[in-house]
Amino acid sequence: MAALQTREAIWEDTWIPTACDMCYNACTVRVHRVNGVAVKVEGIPEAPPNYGKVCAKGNAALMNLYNPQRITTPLVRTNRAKGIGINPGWKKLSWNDALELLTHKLTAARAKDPRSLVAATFDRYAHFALRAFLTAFGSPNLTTVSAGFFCGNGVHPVAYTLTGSNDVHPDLKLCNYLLMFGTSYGFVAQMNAMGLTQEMAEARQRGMKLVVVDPVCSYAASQATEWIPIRPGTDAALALALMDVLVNESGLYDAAFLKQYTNSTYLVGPDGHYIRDPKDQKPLVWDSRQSRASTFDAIDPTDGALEGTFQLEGMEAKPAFHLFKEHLRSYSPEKAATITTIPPQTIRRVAKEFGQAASIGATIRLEEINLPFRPAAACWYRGISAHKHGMMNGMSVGQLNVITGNIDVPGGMLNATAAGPFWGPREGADGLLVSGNPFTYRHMRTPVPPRKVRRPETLELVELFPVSVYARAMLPLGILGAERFGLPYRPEVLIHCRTNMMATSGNPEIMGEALKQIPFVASFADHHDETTEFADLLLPDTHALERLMPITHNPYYHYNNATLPGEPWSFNFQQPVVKPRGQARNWIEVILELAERLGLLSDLYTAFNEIAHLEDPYRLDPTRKYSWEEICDRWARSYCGARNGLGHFLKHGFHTGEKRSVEQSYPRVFHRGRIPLYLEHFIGAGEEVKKFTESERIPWDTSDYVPLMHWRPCPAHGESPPEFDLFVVNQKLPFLTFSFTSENPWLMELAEHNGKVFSVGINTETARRKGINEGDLIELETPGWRKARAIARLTQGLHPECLAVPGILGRWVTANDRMRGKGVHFNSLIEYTFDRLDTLSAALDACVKVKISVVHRTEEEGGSHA
Amino acid sequence: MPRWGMVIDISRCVGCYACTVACKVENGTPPGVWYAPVYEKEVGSYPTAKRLFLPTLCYHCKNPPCMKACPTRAISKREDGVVLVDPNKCCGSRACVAACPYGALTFVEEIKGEFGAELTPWEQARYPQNDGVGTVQKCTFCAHRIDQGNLEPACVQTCPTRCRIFGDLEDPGSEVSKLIREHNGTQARPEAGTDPSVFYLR
Repeated sequence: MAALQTREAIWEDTWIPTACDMCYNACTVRVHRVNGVAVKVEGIPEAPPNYGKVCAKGNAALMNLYNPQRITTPLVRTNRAKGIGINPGWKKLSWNDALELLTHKLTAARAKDPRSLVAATFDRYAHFALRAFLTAFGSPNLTTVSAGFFCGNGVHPVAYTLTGSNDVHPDLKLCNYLLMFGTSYGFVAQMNAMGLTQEMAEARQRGMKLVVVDPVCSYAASQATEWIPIRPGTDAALALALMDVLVNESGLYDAAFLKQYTNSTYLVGPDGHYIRDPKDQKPLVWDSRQSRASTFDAIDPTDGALEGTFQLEGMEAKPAFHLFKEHLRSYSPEKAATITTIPPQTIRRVAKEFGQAASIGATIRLEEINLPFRPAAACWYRGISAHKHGMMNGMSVGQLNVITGNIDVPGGMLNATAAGPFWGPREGADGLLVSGNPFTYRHMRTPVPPRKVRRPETLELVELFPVSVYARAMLPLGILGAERFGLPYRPEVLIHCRTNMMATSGNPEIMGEALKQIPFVASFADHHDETTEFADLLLPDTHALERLMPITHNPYYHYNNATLPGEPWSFNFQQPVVKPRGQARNWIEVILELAERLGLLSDLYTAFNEIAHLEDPYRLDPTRKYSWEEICDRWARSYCGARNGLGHFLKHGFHTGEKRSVEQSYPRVFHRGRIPLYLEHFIGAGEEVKKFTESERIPWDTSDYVPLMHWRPCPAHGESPPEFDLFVVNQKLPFLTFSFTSENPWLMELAEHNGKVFSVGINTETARRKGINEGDLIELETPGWRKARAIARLTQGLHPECLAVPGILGRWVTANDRMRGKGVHFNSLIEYTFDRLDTLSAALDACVKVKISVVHRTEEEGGSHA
Repeated sequence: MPRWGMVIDISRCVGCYACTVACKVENGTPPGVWYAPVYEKEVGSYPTAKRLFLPTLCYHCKNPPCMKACPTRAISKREDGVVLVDPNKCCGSRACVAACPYGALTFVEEIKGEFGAELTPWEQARYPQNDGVGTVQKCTFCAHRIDQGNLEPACVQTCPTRCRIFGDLEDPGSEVSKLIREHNGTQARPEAGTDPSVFYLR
């Protein structure tokens, strides 16, 4: 049964290049179409970013495309009642009637207040067009909701602070020692999943040591040189203790780097602020050579003092690094051991391994340029962010890279998009590094310098988060608490596509209540899910394999498409492989039609030119009207040159440009913007937030706006009665991501084969202590009376204080009847209340503690398998 | 004449199932039929536990016990080493399924749709009507691909860590031969006397 066997003659046998859409990495693929049916997905060997490799999800895409329960006609809700499990009473209507209805609602909303429109999507390739629509409409409310609760909150602001880019990644080609915290980076997860999985395999083969810090023996930990189990939510303590060893015990830190590229030499007064030159307000440093204070930019950086106590006009002044160094002493390995459960000798050993591998002082010659060589890096992601003190967690880990001088130099932690063909990091106020990427603000805000705190205008209340990049987790709380936060309008219309907010944000009840506050919800979707259940209007969206979408892989803007050192800047396209199912339409083409109906098309074009950074002669003329194909063609040519327009992409699917130069890959020595190791600007930002929230009588915790990072416990660490003694940790699966993958019968069959996906993992010794056997049905209960049931699966690969729940499962609306309810819905266990949010990064704390009890013993002797 | 074989590097497999799905889509197998499953095993004890991932497929043995066991001679071995089941000759005895020490063969009782009774367009294109039911199937080393001259098996092509390498075991200079020599490639259950054409590296 190997070869394609058909009864009919083959009249068509062709391969169409396009971009995969089963996660967010936009791998370049080609799809085999025979007689009008898509039969196989493969990579294209020469095409970045995946160079011919396709993961399980990408291979399985066809079973989402051909889901028989695709939404094929516009539908309108007839049941006024909305809620989880409430049948919307869908009634078919024509596209024209649907768009008339939506146009009517949008017109009314705009007349009330243009800001009352909110658009939520994780279809990132649609962002530019959608933001142009919102700009023309007059609304600042573009959000992704789910992504941005637990994930990049503790990464993006830190990455901006360290590199001027919205993300960072380790230099896998040259790194010799990689320390990973709370991430499966390089194991079919995260950024450039396919490209980096190849790079990680090569790096490990080359001899790179991989040390994975994770409560779970994850896929990454399984292949690591060493797995370090850790109590959830304590990684900051580990990072700070590692730095204590490096700085105070071993002297393994890059003093030269700190002097030249950070604010370590800036003098700090008793109030914690910089001491500034009275004339020009520039921060002062101590010139060791001349034994006097000087502005930071008036001396040779190597002459700046890192330590010491100096008297300046009767005030005691210390260099920032001096304070940092002293601060670290309160995080000894012994102290960190009690917090993390990691033995102090392990902490010391890893610190020294990391510090020695960093090879401080070493250089490397690349393309005739001598650069610092620091082949040790510490990377981190979701596991660090998803906590009450996500910002502090991320910053602490990030600082391991700063003190060893590996930022943006060969071997170390590198910027994703800070330096590109026509931009680079810049020097901003106080000499601090600021982003120069012109696309930066399109979906994130920059945190350095901190933004002005003002009365909230966005539903996310991002104006109250001056050092975050977004505040998506606040959206439901902002909607529900609009009165309290003094929001000058209420949401009227939600346009939603490709983000399953009900299942993938915080607790579903809260999200549901927020959605019910919005009078009109228009969902574009190709399948029903937990969120479309709340829609008033449901419009059939094309599947990714049915639509034209330009510039999907976009390394200028999407940090996860970061071009690796020495690799070419590349772009790809999505194009229709098969005809749209039923009456499905590409939702962005519909958005453009809505703009026209609303009389906003001209303004949309004007906005789009800026947002997409189109250059002449490809900018859209606001007096004309373009087809979607024409817009795609112009955009492609603007980025890729006159000869590489739509025609090129339809034929080849991708375009590779110049290689990422040494200066773009490793920009650190080419610019002067300094990294704030000491977060002095946090103090002022916090004071502004405090002033505003106090004046508005909004209770708001600003205690994390401090210049030196701490480990602080999550609410779960201390709150519960003692019987709530186990943390529930959500773990990643390489073959299931995003909720729609659990619609896919192939992937769900694999989940059944895997045996670990629908059960809950428990440490073998913990299970023995609690009298739980393999295969027992157990019930988890949180202090907030949230419950879940699952089969217990005993494992040695889990911290004894944890239970492991994988993926996004336990779904309650899915086309795949067999799968409904299977597995545990992790998010339903989370408390989604304001006190669980990090007021700096807007992360939602995902630390959950439960007590467990046996519901039903396994019947077989010796245990059964799920 | 090449003798086709494969090397699988366990130290590189990350348990992602890309190969497993690529194989299914390439070969159009029905629900429940997987030629290339990846198994997982936990080793060690906390805190030095880890998971090992074991990609599997038919090993196209030099001495295939399935071929010996088949009462209707439906299983044959090509000159290039590929072992194939002829569905037209297979009578569904399942003697081969019992004989194989590796569980590489699957008997197809029925072909249902992944979503229920109605087949999706993909399934309509890929499940040959009335073919396959009541017979045994297994991995073919993607013979239809390698016979084209320049294609690798689908599992090899898609693997993101390049843990599967395919090539000519008769050629001492081929990558597979070198890897087996230099890294002490071992066969699964060598005591079974099957002499598999697939070698594992640790």
